[in-house]
Parts: sequence; structure tokens; C-alpha cells
Amino acid sequence: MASNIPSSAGRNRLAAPATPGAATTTTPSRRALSADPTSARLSASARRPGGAATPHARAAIRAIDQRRRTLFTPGRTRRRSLRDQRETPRDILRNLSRVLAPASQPLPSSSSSSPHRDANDNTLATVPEDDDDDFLIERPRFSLPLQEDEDDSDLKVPRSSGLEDENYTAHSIELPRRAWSEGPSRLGRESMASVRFSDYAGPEIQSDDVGIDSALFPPPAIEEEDSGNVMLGVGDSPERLDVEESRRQTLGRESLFGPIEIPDMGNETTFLMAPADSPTREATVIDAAVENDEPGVFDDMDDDHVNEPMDFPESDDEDNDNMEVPNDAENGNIEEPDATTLSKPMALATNRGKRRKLGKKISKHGIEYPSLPPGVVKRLATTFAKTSGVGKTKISADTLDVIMQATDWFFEQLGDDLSAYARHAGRKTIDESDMITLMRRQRQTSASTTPFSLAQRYLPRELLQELRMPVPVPIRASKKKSRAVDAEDDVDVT
Amino acid sequence: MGQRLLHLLCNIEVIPTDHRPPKPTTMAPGQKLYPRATVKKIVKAHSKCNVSKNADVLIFLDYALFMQTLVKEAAIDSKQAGERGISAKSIKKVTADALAKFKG
Repeated sequence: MASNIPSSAGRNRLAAPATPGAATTTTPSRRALSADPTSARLSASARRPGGAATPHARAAIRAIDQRRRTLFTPGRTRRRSLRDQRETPRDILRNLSRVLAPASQPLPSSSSSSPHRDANDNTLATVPEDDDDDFLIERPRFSLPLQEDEDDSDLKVPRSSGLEDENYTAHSIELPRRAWSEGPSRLGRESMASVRFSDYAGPEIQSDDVGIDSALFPPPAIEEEDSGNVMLGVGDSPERLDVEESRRQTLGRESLFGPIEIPDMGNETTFLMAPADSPTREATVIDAAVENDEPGVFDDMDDDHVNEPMDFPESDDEDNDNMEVPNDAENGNIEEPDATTLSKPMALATNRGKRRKLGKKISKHGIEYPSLPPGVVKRLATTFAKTSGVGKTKISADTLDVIMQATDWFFEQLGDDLSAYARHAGRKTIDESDMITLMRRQRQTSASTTPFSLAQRYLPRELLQELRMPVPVPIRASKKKSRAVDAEDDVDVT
Repeated sequence: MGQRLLHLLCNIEVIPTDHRPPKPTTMAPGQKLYPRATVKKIVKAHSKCNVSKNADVLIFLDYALFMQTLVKEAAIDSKQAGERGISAKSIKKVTADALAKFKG
């Protein structure tokens, strides 16, 4: 008795919703889990009439319970210790009979015996005349024989087939589902905001620990970028004893950090990383789909994210910081976590505002790219606005937005042209010669203005040095350089 | 005549110096002119090609020329429209032309 308590308590701690019946014999639930997903809740809601899954599962539960009952019946096993616990009506009746047994006497005239004797006298004589008080048919016996056997050990516990008495229609009604794409909060990849792994947002989900099993719902649409995360999650999620949770986690859309619960700040730190397209994106995407005839290469390039080093560590840092906050609180220094929790959301809020303005764009090759920082663009535009002779050289915010847009378009066009030149030369690398070709075709450079003179005009000296450093340039460039020196001499003279 | 030619030459001489941007030495010394890695990333994403080590300097040079064209044209446009500064509308109007000019 005393040895039972810790084991049951431990079991309860490990698998809280499991009933003892399912815990002793785990085989049906395991089998049901692998066989059909609808009976996966067997272990949790076996005793609950509303939550039973399939008739077969319920029958299995009932069979288990019957086996237990027959095992522990006091008549069978003679274990008196258990009798106090299970106080059935039959026990009460038996106790009553034991109390009453010495005082009561067996009835001498049972209902079957005394009329029978009278009837024996009368039957031969007066059969035809009176039917009312005489019985042709033997009178049924209304009492049980008393002394036949006291021992009820061979009384069979009534068995039920298990497939009756439930309103299956009410349980087989499909609850409303929701398409994954139109879920309530479809956030970015690393978003921690969706703590609930099931996409079903119904009233039953918070009723108890079981709710609607997410296995009933279609698995979420897993994107290509997500696949790595999901695989990582399957491998990493710690083995938990309640089957529900692990199942839900493996199926659900999951973040990088598995079951770690991020506190409320997680909602604030997440930012929407919707792929904001540049306005010319639609046409070029169609073009790319038409002219891109090697999908394998496309996928390869898709996988090696160019921006990954600048994208992932930041989110990792944020989340790690968030995860550190509870650790500090555990260690006991309370002041410091407060400071961090106060300062962190503010910093992140400003960060997030900036980030959302920047956005992440995806090129037609499916590669994410950052945009040029607005500060650089604004500085450049202000510099040129000063020389353009406008009265007010200040660049307003909406002007800057439009300029950023033009910048994005410019770089897109430039990338197209440069890649065309490099491919034509049979290279996979854009180098300076492509750029020189492009600038000549743009008529930015001519006989009088060389790239180097332009660079001397527009670029600071460090970058100029970078430009001149690679001395092994083709002969044409060196000729140009000498000509450039001549031209600059001319400029300086005149 | 010679005087007049000289004057003309001086006028011609004046215009390019006016259009010449101020030397970048006016910039703060510790400040970077532009993030090189970002420019490389942008071009790499658009072209699906690698960008060699110092090509991004020329790319940024080209971008600076583009910006000069854009801002200059927009300044002319907004001056014609009677605005004082450079408005977003004039930039929008001028962008297509500038892009076409820088189409290789």
C-alpha cells in the first residue's frame, strides 16, 4: 500500500493526464497511436465519456478495466486489504446479511412450497371447475434459494461487448477546421508568437489538457525554408512521456528552440518578415520562371542564403537574451533582470521599427537581399542636391522613400546587366572589367572621362586605393589609366 | 575675339566645376562611405553571380553617378514645377528616365 503511493505519484508527475488503466498497460495506446490518429487520445481521456475517440478504443479501455476488476475482486483474490477501498453495493448487502443472519430465521413456507402442497390435493379432484385458485402451470418462484452457496467467487463479473450505448454521431461530428494559410497569426519563420502548436482556435482547446488533438488536423504547410527547422525540431525535442505533447510538437509548426517557453516579451521581439517585393517584381518573376530552365541550380541557390549570416545570428541573439532573463531571475539577483527587461524591449522596439522599414526583399533568383541603408542614400542625395542648385537641399522622408525605391530598381537593373556580361565572358564572377564595360555602355565613361577619373572625383581615397590596388589589370585598362592621367593633367592645367 | 573666346572657355570651364560634387574629403573621417558588404550582397542577389573583390567600388561609383543624375534631373523638374526643395513627385517622374540612361 505504502509502496504504491510513490510509484503512482511519479507516474502522475510524468504523465499527468494518463489514467492508471492506460498506464499499466500501454500497449493499446501505443498501437492506437501508430495505427490511427483518431484514437491517440485514448490514454488521456479514457474515463471521460465526452472525449472518447473510436468505439474500438473505448472497447479496449473497457476490456482493460474489466481485466483489472477481475484481478482485484475480493472474492477472487481474498485480498482483504483492498476491500475497504472498494465498497460496492454488494459488499454493503453482504455486511447487512451478516448482521441479520443470527437474528433471522429461514421462512418455513416459501411461496413455492405451501401453495404447491394445497394444489396437490386439489388438482386431481377439481381440475375442471375452478381455474382461479388452482394452478395448472407451476407457479414461478419469487425468491432465491438461501443456503445454496455463500461463496461468490465463481460469480462472473458481467462482461459487456463494449460496442454499445454511446451516441457515436455526436462524437463523430467534425469540428471546424481552418486552413493553415488563413490562420489567425501567420508570422515569420522564427516567430515565437504562436505558442500554440495547433492551428485550431476553438473553445475546447483550453478546456483541459487534451482538447482537440492537433493530429486530427492536417499538418501545416511546410515551406522549403522551414524544412530544416522542422527536422531539427524532431531531432532535438526532448523525449516527453506524454505522447500528446511530443506528437503535437513534431507535427506542429515549430521554432528553432523547441519547447522552450519564451515569456511575454517574445511577442514584442518578433517582427514580421514578410517578403516585401520590389514593385517590378511581378514581371521579373515571370521572366525568371520562363527563362530559368535549370530548376536544380535554382534550388541550390535558393538554399544557400546569402544573407543568412546577417539574418540568423541577430534573431538568435535576441532569443538567447530572452532566454537568459529567467535564468538570471533564478540565480537570485533581481535587480539586474529588471534592468534588462526594461531596457531590452525598448531597444528591440526601435530595432524593430528600423527593421520593418528596411524590410527584406527577394530577388528574382529567390535570394534575399538587404537594401542600402537609408542614411547612406540620404547623405549621397543631399550631397548631390547641394550641387544641383535647389533652394532647399533637405531630403524629406517621402522623397527618401522614393529614392530608395529607385535605388532598388537601379541595383536590380545593374545586377541583370552585370550578370549578362559575366555570363557572356564565360565567368561566374562579376569583376571590374564587367563594370568598366557597363559604364562605357552607359556613356558614363568616354575617352575623356575614365572610371578612374570618376572614382577620383566621387570616391574617398581609401576606396580609390582599393580600385588601384589590383595592378594586374588588362592592358586596355592600363592604357586607359595613362590616358586618364593625361586627361587629369589637362584638367589641372586648364 | 580672343577675349570673348576666353570668356566662353571660362564659362565652359565654370559649368563642370559647378557640377562637380564636393570632394569626399568633406565627409567625417571615421565614417564609411557605404557598406561594401551590403552592396556586394545586393548585386549578388540580383545577378546570381559572385562579385569580385573590388568590383563593388566601381558599382558604387556607378550608383553615385546614377544618384547624381537622378537628383539633378529631379532638381530641374521641381524647379520647373515651382517647388523649393526636391519633391518625391519629381523624383518619381524622373526615375524612369534615369534608369533608362543607366541601362547597359
